[in-house]
Amino acid sequence: MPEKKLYSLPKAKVPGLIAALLKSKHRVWGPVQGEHGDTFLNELSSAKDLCRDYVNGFLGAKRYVFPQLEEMFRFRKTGAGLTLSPPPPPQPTVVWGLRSCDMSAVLYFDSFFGRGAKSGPNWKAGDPLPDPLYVARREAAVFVSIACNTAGPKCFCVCTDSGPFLSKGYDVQLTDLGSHYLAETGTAKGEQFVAGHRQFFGAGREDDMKKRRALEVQAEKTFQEPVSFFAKAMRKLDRGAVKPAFWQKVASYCIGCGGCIYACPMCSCFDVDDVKISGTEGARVRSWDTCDFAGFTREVSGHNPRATRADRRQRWFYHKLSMDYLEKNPVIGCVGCGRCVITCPGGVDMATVVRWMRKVE
Amino acid sequence: MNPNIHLPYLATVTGIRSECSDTKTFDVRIKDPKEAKLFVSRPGQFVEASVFGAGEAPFGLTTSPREPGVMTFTIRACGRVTDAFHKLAVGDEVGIKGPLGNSFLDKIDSRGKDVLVIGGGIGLPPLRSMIHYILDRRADYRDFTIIYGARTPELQMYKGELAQWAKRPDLTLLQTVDVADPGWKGYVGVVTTLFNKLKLDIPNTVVYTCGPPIMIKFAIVELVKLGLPDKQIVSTLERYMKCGVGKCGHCCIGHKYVCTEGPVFDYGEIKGLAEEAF
Ligand code: SF4
Ligand code: FES
Repeated sequence: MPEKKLYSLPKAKVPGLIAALLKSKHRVWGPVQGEHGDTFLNELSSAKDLCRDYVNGFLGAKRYVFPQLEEMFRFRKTGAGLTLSPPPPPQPTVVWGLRSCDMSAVLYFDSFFGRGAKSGPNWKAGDPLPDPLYVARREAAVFVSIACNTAGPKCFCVCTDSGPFLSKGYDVQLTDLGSHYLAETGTAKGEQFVAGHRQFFGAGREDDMKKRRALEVQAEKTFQEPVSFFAKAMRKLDRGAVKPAFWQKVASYCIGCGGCIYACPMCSCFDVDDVKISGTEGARVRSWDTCDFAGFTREVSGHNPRATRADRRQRWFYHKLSMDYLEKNPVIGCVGCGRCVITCPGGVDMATVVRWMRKVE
Repeated sequence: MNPNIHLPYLATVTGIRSECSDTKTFDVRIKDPKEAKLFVSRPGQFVEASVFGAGEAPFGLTTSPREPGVMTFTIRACGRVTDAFHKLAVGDEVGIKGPLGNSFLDKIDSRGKDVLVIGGGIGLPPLRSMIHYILDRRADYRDFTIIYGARTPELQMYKGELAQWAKRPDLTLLQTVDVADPGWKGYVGVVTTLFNKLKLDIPNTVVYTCGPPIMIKFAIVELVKLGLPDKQIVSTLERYMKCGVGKCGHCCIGHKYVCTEGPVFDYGEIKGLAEEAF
């Protein structure tokens, strides 16, 4: 990793940069505003689509790195038998303007879906395997994240070490300094990206870095969602202090919609299915699935190891907060983006349940 | 295993045998010789097998691999993918991902010890890979006993092979059914009722078990009562699986992925899980 370099990017130049990227056959993902005023990360068809006045979009970068529905391969029946073809490699992409929490979630995905894993003859039982679809998309993209000067109303990334500013992991991190952004490069890929579009970037200034540090301190004072002390909740969970009655209470508020899981930038479970394309062609596809649905673990015999909603709620929080998983993963299973808080119709989101768990005797 | 974990090898069905009214055994060979060479399984491992258009499902390999790229698995017709398998004919093409998961050999070493295999119903197929493995190296092991329980005599797997095992002097086979028919010469009752027929050398016995969860559960309870240490009780676990390669999340029990960290676990590991395994 080269040493971190500073640049500045005048806001007025952003549309030009996006247009140049689109013209040079890049795909660009960025925050857009839907017709009802909600923002989410989507593919841009022109620089005009980009929405700059938002804290966190409802659907994050998961939509790019792990799409809701995607083909794993196609199968074709020919005269000579079957042929299988994996999807074509993704085009070069820039994911623009994702927030720090979403960038942190991508870093977590790297450890689960990414290259950290091995495969081939040296693979041993238990070794994680790299997911080729994820790796291809991750490596085809440059991630330009944007730090948050002000937290959103339901955000709690300070409690999960995943924002509001990042110190590493991004390719480029932008900080809003009014008329321009401070741009910090965090990887060789980020550095190359800036070098390739140097006409849009100005030189970085040390006093911009000073302003950025002050903004970071300031930003940490803007959180409204009082959810710190994950550690205390996790300790209780690990000690077995959180009893079945607790999960029954959580489940009694849950309607089993799975919204928290679809919205979660770290949830990665999927379903696999074969679909027909024509008489001689079909595709194996995967789509987001949720451990909140009874069918997730129901076996063909009818036996279901997680038969009740309480079992399933317990599962979700266990996966995200238990020490067992913390030993496997580099981070806990939450980046504090607050999306489940906004989504859950029953009010039993991560923030609430951690608060309840902390108070368990 | 293919470096693209989602892409199956293309393979051909080379043999189909009927085991009972709803169960068939399939012999399958990977088509491409280079890919076939990469497919070398160990007893207890499984594959994700596809009928393209219907989907993919996990099946335990039932033979000790004597040749790379060649495998056998047994399938009961009970859903979309398994029904599609039952409609196949010799020569048809299928997809194979694997070999997947760990092996009985990854747990306690049973060489030089007595081995007791306890199988129930369609739990015999995965155990058969270990049985073959031991029979191929019979001198490395001491007493070898197999208890096999099925609901009825008709529902027994591998009837011809059971008859051969029954004749072997170097193997004790105890067969039991829940409901006998007039020709039945074996025992009647659940597998645990046969435990008092065994003279177990507790410190030097390793048990391998697979079958319906309820059978495994009660077998383990009895074995623990007899004083068998956790590590000497080795069982396979089952979960609904979608990918077989540690990514879809369906197979987790607590923090363990049955598809990549199992399907073989010893009772010590099973006890340490945050969720009920059976
Ligand atoms: S969003 Fe709320 S109601 Fe919906 S599944 Fe999650 S916890 Fe249950
Ligand atoms: S079957 Fe998909 S993770 Fe195990």
